[in-house]
Amino acid sequence: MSILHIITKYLDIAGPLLGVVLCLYRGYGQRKTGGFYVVLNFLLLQFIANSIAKYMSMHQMNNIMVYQANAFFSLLLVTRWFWGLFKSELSPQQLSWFRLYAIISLCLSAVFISTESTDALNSMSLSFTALDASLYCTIFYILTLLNVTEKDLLKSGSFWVSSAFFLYYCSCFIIYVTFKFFTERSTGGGNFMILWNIHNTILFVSCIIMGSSSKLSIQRN
Amino acid sequence: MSDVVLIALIVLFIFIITVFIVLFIFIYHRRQVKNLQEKKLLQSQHAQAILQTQLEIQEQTLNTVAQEIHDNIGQILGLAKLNLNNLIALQPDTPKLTDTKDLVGKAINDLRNLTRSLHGGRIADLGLPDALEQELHTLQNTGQFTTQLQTTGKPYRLEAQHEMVLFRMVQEALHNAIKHSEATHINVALHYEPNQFKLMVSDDGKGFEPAALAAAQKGIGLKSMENRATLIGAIFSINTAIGQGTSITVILPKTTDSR
Repeated sequence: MSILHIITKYLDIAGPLLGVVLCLYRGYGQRKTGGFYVVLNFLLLQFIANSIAKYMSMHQMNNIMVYQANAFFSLLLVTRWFWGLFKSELSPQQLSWFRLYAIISLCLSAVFISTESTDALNSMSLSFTALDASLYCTIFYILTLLNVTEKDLLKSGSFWVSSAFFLYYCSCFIIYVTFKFFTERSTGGGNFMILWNIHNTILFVSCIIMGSSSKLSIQRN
Repeated sequence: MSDVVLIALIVLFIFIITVFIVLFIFIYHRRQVKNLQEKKLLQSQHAQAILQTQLEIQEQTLNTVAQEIHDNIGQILGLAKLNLNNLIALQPDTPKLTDTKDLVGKAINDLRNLTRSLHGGRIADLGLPDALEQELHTLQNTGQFTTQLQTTGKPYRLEAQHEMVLFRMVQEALHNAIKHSEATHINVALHYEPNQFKLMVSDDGKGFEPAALAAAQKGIGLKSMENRATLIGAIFSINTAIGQGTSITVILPKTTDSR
């Protein structure tokens, strides 16, 4: 096993942990708001869930349920994050539609998880979460372009955290969708496992962006 | 399709996502710049509109005052002079009556000059050089100043509003020279160039320190001149130093309405 492979294998734990440290360090002494806690909780969730999943995997235990639970609670936090952003941008009617959609998608996610087999990682629930999060990010980008302000976008925590979500979930959507396909047609060569390393690398980068932007995200949400 | 190709495609997809985010920042920045430019343009147009309205109101007020002086005080003084003439005809050897008649006559003349100076319509009728000639003539009549009007190039008419604004600027410059400069000679030069019109008002007064004036955010008169110049799209500059007199220059690019 190459060193790069070993490193990337643990990036899904290292990234969120580093993100949490950055988040707490940069948010220290600042007045904290909802957005800050959403980011912190998301990073903590990733760290705890991935650590448990890794531990279970090392002890030959089935960890699929952990990934599924992570997908559901992540979607909950992502929805909360974008709700915080959209409530000042959307009209009351649009917000009602958003709330309705969010509830339905959370219910659907729960249904997918409860009906999925835990024998092997099923693409459905994870893909659905990634698709949903990517959709919220796209709405965020559209709203941002429609409401251009004098504020420097590069100094906006909302933008960086949302972009981190977009980078992670949009990239992972294609990984989740294809993962089951690769598993089923795999002949034991394990080439497709590199996808999981790509996933870990993207999660690492996204968590660092989120942790670094948490100070900025305190200003909004 | 082999696994390697698929994985390469996935990596490409991730790359595209990253490019999308960078592109988004770029587009946002462009829109931001465009919005800022539009905002600045609107602010400038708004400021121009306010300035124009202020000048129009000022011009209207001056015209009304000029009209009132001419129609009311001028008429009364005219009648008083007529009565004095009648009295002098009855008592020809009364020097006080003759003196009073002369004084009333001078008052009528002064009022006539003041009316001319205030009334904007006269500038439009006479044209800028003649209107300035009269203005300088009135000033010279006080006996305190010598004045000179120089014209170079082939004179052409400027837009009526531009001539009015330039005339008011010269009046402001003359007022400043009379009030502050302790000058004895005032020179007004009009340069009719093919692509631009240049106006210079200079005096031989005591001048002032431009830095001190800039620190005091410019005198109201100078600020007013600068605003007027901006309104007509002219460039205003001032050249002065202690003991060197003061010279103001206004450069107005020739427009299609100039003839």
